[in-house]
Amino acid sequence: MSAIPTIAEAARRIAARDLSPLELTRACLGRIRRLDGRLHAFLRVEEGALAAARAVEARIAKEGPRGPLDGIPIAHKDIYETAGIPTTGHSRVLRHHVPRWDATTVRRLAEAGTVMLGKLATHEFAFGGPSFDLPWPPARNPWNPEHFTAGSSSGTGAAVAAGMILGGTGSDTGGSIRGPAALCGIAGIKPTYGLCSRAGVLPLAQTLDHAGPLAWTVEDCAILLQAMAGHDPEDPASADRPVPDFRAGIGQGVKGLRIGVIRHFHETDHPASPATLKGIEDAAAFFRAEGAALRDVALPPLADFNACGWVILMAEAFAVHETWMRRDPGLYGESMRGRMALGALLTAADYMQAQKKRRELIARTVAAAQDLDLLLTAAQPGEAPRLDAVPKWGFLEKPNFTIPFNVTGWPGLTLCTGFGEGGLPVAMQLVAKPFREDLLFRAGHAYERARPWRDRRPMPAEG
Amino acid sequence: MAEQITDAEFEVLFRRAGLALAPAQRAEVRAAWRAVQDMLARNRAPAPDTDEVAAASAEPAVTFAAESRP
Repeated sequence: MSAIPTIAEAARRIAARDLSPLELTRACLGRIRRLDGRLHAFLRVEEGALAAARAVEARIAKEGPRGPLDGIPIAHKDIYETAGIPTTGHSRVLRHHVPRWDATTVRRLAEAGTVMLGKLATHEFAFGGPSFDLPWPPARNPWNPEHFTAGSSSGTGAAVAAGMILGGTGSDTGGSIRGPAALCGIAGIKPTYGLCSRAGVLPLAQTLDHAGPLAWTVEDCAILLQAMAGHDPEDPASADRPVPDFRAGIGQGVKGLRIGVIRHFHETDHPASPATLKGIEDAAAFFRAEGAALRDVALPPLADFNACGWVILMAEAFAVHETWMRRDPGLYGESMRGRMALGALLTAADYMQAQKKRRELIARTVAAAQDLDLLLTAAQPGEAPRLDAVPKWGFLEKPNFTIPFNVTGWPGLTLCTGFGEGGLPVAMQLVAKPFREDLLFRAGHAYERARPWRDRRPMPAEG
Repeated sequence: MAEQITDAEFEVLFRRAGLALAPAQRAEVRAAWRAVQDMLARNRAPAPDTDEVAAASAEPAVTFAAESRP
């Protein structure tokens, strides 16, 4: 098998008995074997994956597929707990942690018939990285392994882009799904806060943490999210509401949608690269030509969202790690340890002022977007930088484009809009109001089908 | 740019946190703290058109409803 199918294509072919889940799994494992020595996307490859694929294939032969994920090879970011399989957070601190239960989302994806190929690299506990002083090296970008994947769902971004898996899980507290999706040239969605259970996912900052999928296409993200979403009593933030069929209207296009371009985010608050700006303008022109109504929209400054989001994140993260940080800070990598130390210095008043600011920012965002269906801005400032040029304290130096929607809890989708001067992908971010992921999928799918970016895959050297 | 604390004030803050970090690590955290102070000042800036009492009384986003499950 040479071409790498999307999940949607593979599902159609598996249902038509034209594609064997066992052969598909073998092809993915072959790519892992050939490429991962260089890309370091996996912390652990599941030895039983072929046997699991064989069992799925036998069941499908007898009963037919359960749905579009039956027989699809995926993998999980190593903060998703997996029963009987180490879940380390890419950290020495939990190097020997073997959970007794699956995370809710892991269980739901298994019930949908996915074949789990292993556990994927992350920044340490989804925050500290990229780091070279951890038990495993950081993941590298398949478009150029000297370059950064973004984080923290770095392994998922790299593994999906390289075709080692057809989709995978990520988490997003300040942009950790949308960042890697952007720099690795794939699609990734941070759903609405509460749509996807966080139960069994190692926390970074509970009021900002979101679980969600990354995949090659927007449609594949919709398929994965369909299986992951839904109320879970084990997660106190879980929304008790029905999950719509995300693919039901995915082909409807954007006619009639009202889209606000948050131009000040990517033009003045943090000016993005020419290729990124060109991609956003091209997408805006496409949406307009397809019948959407576009206008500029002004939200509070990007720096205000970042100040609010990062203070909350550091304070909550330190509360998660306090016991281990006090007992043996040397177990952490330098990056995570430094960031946690900042969290330790914050006062209760600092945290509550940030939570007050959060309510204000949400109210101002709601007011600004009252007559809009979607928002459009950048996901990253440009192409992936070299891995050795990523500043250790980068999140304090320039505001990012993604954390505003962790602060508000609104869903955000990142997708590829082309390639920059260095030949690496650039991306846009679409944002919707709470629980309107269907609109993100409609707009993202329409754009993706009209542009050629999904025809090009990275070709990393074997190693 | 927020008003920065002195090194002596930072030492007090650091001792209160009770973390055992090497001097070089502490110096790095000290340097990074300057950016955090700017963030803290932003978070304390009142919302537009808000008076002092309204700013002090503003609800945080973590306020909860009693009927919600723990």
